[in-house]
This record gives sequence, C-alpha cells and structure tokens, in this order.
Amino acid sequence: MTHAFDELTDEQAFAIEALAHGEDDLVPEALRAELEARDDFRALLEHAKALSIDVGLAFRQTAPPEPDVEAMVQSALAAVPPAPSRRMLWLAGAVGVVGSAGLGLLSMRMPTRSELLHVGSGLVALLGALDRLVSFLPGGYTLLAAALAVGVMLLAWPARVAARRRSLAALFLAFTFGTVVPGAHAQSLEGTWPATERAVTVHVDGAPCLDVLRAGAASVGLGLVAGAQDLGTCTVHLDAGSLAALVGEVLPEGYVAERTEALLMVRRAGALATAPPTAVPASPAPAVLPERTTWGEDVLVAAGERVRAVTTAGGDATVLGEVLANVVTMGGDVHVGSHGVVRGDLVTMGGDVHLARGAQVEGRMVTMGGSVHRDGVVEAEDDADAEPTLAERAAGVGAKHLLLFVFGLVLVGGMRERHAALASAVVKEPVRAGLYGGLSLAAALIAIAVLAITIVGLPAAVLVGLGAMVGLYAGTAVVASVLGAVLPIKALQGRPIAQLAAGVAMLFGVAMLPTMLANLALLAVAAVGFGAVVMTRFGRRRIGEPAPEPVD
Amino acid sequence: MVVLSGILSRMLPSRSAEPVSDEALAVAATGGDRDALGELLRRYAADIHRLCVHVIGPTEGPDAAQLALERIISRIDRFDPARGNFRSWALTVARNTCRDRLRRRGLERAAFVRDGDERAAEASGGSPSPERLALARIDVEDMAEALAELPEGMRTAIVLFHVHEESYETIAKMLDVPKGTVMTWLFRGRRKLRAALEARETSEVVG
Repeated sequence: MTHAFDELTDEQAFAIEALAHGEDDLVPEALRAELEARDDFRALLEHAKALSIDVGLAFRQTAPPEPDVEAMVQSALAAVPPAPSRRMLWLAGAVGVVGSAGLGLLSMRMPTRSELLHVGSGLVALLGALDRLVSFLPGGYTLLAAALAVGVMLLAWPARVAARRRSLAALFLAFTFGTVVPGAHAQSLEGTWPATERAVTVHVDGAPCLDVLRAGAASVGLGLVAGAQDLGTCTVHLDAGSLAALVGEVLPEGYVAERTEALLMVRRAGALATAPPTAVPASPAPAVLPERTTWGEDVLVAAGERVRAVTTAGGDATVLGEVLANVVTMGGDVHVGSHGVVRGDLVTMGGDVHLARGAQVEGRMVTMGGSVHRDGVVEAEDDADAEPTLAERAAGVGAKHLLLFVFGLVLVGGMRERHAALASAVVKEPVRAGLYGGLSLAAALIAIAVLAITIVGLPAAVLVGLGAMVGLYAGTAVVASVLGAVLPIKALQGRPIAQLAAGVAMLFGVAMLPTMLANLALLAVAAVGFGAVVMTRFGRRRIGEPAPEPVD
Repeated sequence: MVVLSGILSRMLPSRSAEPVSDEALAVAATGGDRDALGELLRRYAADIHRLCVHVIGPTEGPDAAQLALERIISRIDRFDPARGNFRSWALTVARNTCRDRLRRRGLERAAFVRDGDERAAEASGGSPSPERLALARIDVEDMAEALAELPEGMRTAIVLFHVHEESYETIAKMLDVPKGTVMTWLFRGRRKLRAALEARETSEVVG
C-alpha cells in the first residue's frame, strides 16, 4: 500500500484527495471513471478516507489546552497603542518642526559684523589651507575624490539596503566629481595678483616657456623663481594683457604660480618648493622661503627665516621667525616666539595658540575648539561663548525637545510595531535596558574614536555616529512615550501623541533644571532608551524572544 | 506584573458597547474602534492559539500566538472587509507570524524542546489496525514533533484543514497557492505525518 501511495502522480493524488472528501466534481469525468474501475485505486481511496478521519481524530485528541483568551487580548491591546489619525500626526509634526525652527532661531544670539568678519576670515584661511594640504598630497584632489567615492559608497550601502537601490549611481557621481575637480584645480594662482598693473605684451612662437614667463614677469618688475626646470615650449600672442593671463596661457596643467611683492614663483602643484630656486631677481628682494605644508609633522620657522605661509594637519607650528601670510593648523598647536611675527591670519582648528611676550600676529586670530595662551596665561573667552540667558537656554532646549517630539511622531505614526516593542522593553526591563544602553553608548564612543583615527575608518566612524544618534533619539522618544503613559491624567489615556508630548514636556522640564541630578536623570533616560533600541534590534525583536540561531 | 500591565493599559482607550456580527465589528475595527477590535480578537484568539501551537509547537506556539494578536492590532488598517472575512485574514497573519518565527530560529525542521506535558493516550474508537493505534496513542508532544518534520506549507494546510476545518479554497487563499497544490499537500502530508508518528512509536518501543 505504501508503495502504491508513493507511486501516485500529483494528478492522481489530487483526484483521490477530492474523491475521499466528497469533491467528486473537481475530478475530470474520464479520470474518475478510470480510477473507479481499478481495484487498487478503490483500495487507496478507502485508505485515504480512513487516514483523513484518523488524522482529524488525532488532532482532536492532541488539541492544546484552551488559552486564557481575555488575558491574551488584553495583553496584546496593551502592547500596541492605538494608531493616531493621520491628520493629528501631520498637525503635530508641523507644530513640532515649525516650533523647533522658531525656538532654534530665538535661542541664537545674532552675531555682530565684527564677529561675522572674524569667523569669515578664519574660514577663508582654513579653505585656503585645505587647498594647499590637498595639493600637497600625492594625487591631490584625485586622491580626495577617490576617498570621497569610497566614503559615498560605504555611506550608500546601508541606504541601498534600506531603499533596495544600487550604489553604482552614487559611485559614478563621486568619480565624476573626482575627475572634474582636479581639472578645475589643474592650474592655480596663489599670492596677491593686482587687478590693474602694467600691461604685458608677448608674441613668441615655440619659445621655451620659462623664458616667456621670465620676460613677462620682468615686464611688471618681478623676478622669476622656477621650481621646475623645463616647462617645454610655448606659442603665445598676447597684446596688452595681464601677467595672470600670460601665466594662464603658458603654465601647463598641474603647476602653481605664486606671486609675492617681488617674485613670481612657479612650481608643480603639491610640490614643496624647497629646491634651490633658479632665481633671477629683477631687483634686490629679501629671501622669502616658500610656504611650508605638512601632514602629521611639525613645522618650525626658525629665527631669521622669512616664510611665505605655514599649513599643518596633525602637527604643531612654531614660529620664531617671520611668516608673511597665514599660519593654519588643524589638530595642532601654534607657538609664536618672542621675536616671531605672523603678518597674516593665525587660525587653529582643534589646537591651542601659545604667544610668547613680544610675539606679533598682525591679522586675525581664530581658534576653533582651542584656547589662546598669552605669555603663559589663558585668555578669557570672548562674548560669543558667553553664558546664554535663561530665555535663550529655554528656547534652545525647547527646540531640541521639539525635534525629539517630531522623531517620536515618526515612530508612533510610521513604525507602530517597533515602537510597541521598544516601549515593551522599556517598561518590562528598564534596569537591563539602562545597563545595555550605557555600555553600548560607551562602546559606540570608543569605536568612533578608534575608527576616526584613520582616513579609511572615517566613513565607518560617521556611520557608527549616525546610528548611535538615531538610536539615542529613538530610544529617548520611546521613554518619553512611556513617561507620558505613566502620568495619572485621564485625558492622556489611549492618545499616543498626547502621551509623547507629555513625556517630552517632562524631559524638557528636567533639562531646564540646572542641577547635576537633572543631568544624571536625562543620562539615565537616554541610556534606558538606547538600551531598549539595542536589546530589541530597533524594535525588530521582542524582549524574551531568543536571538536567531546561527546557520550551519 | 500588575503595575507593568497597568502602565501599558494606560495606552488604551476606554471600552464601549459591542457590535454583533463579525462584519460590523470588522468595519468598526478598521475605522479605529479598539473595542470592536478587542471583541473580534476574543472571538478568534483561541483559533490563532491552536494554529500556532500546532504549527510551531506547544512550547513556542503561545508566544507566537500573542505576537500574532499584536500584529493583527497594529495592521488592522490593512484589513479590507470586502476581500474576505476577518477570521481568514487573522489566521493568515498568524500563519505568517509562525513562519517568520520558524525562519528566524532555524527551526523549520528541528525538533521541539520537550516541555514535559505528558498526556495519556486515548483510543480513537476506530478499527484496531496498527496504523490507527499509532495515531490513537500520540500525545500533543508527539504530534508537534511529527508535524515539525513536514514542510511549513504542508503542515499549515493540514492544521487548517483538520483543526480549523477550513475549505480547500480558503486554505489556498490563505497560503497563496493553487487549490490543487493544497489538495496534493493534504494527501501527501497525512501520509508523511502518519509515517513520522509511526517512526516515533517504533523508536519508543525499541528504546
């Protein structure tokens, strides 16, 4: 019998199933007649009927005990709060966004013209320094573009997973950018190029380019310092043009022309012009050394030296002599000795400035994330970092909490199951969530610090940072919802948006308290929320549900 | 626990009067009436519980049933009364919940953990053939383990047919497969189920 069953085709199995359960009309007439005419099929049919009855009996015999339906339903209803209406969601979202923007503006003190100029000049100096640093790298902007492309690809990966789109478009755009940008910077002018000066007229065919440049520079009273020995030959026909125009005609791509008061210096982009210059001064000029640009190394301008400019990334700059233009450091300190002079701006990002007695900085001094030590004494912060008024603080804290409210709305309205799972974790296991959250936050901070050390790890550090930020906000919003639900206010019952708003208002109140205890309470809330996010895999898993087993 | 459920229950609106028919309740529930939804769930929670216990076993089934109820609540706005009755839709959600859980835990063909719920076998009252005796002596644990040896679709089809007494058409709709496939699954599934149960009995006798 077993053998007979195993040999049945799908069509025959279907027919016996139908006939055994009184669905004769489902079987084609011819097939039915054929089956009913055969003794073996009649036996199979009887067997199938008996088996069906037996299986039904077996299921009845092994029926599970009746569950406590009321408890099941109440528990499920409690775990999933009612959905807010779309109208309410949009309304609350609009109020949150507009309110947050408004309060954010109110919390900001309008900068004065002088402060704007101060920051602006610092940014300009920084951008110029960045340009020099990138040019100094082998590959320059092409390398930067490639790094950007890798970064975009890494950043696009989770977005691709989320949106199920390919990152090739992003990669293509990044590489397009990478190939266009170097072209735009293939040849550049540095230094001071006056708008009006003596006109330059040159008519040459197949002459050495260096000779053409030397003649052009001489015609405006400049000497030529050539950092490159051979620029090839040029054919130029320029009538009453500017020196800049001549340089544009003559200088090949990948070269930089820098103009000082007395010199026109030509070098390969990114190359340190430390080689002995083939200078042909038109008039006696002081010895000005080219700019010094380093990655990860300190720079020293020794006493008696005159250097065009100093730019370092990851290194300190010490000025004992004279720097004619800007001194810019990123991630390094600047020390200016008692006879040191900086004619341009002094800009530090993430570093301190140490000025000895007698040190001179003629331009603006901009420190971002650092402090100024004058003769060993730390200078007081300026008004820009002054303590905000209570109203400004309230507006700033309010803006942040309204953003938290908007974030919570996204969860309440668009991710209800996840919100429910997160709220369940916060309610059922707040202590474990707090511990998980604290440890996870610490781990995330360490991971970011470690990853950010290297350029390759930077995109991953950004990803970890963004993930932690989103998790922190989501978790805190869920804790706010739970706090709102706990409040003994009848009007809040069954209203998730109102509960979220009430919870956020509570957190705002705590945040406005100027005590250490309040800060600790907010930290605990953030840790519990973040822990719930980690424990539930952002609401994808319920508390008590085991993690997936590893696949063999 | 009372305090916790109190906190969670504060997220609920207060209850109101009950409509009568499934259809009326379903329309009200999709419009946001939590009382109507609660009443519907009370009517079919036991069915969902049975399905989950049979499909993924007596140990994990109740948890899956609870999760299925929560999914029904959070997805009630997706239910269209014009496209079918609430019971079928709710059982489909439960089936999908069980399937997700099985996939997640890699338990598709794994044995269930014994929960010690021994039950005495009762005779079915049919003819005393060895096959029928094998089916008559099983307990809930044997059935769960034998069912676990069937592919998930076949297993769910058998449970829906024999436990929930659903028609071929309804099962086909719920599992999103042709009616002929359901019938073939049932025919072959019963054979496999009995073979699995017999194998268990044989091993117990030998052991």
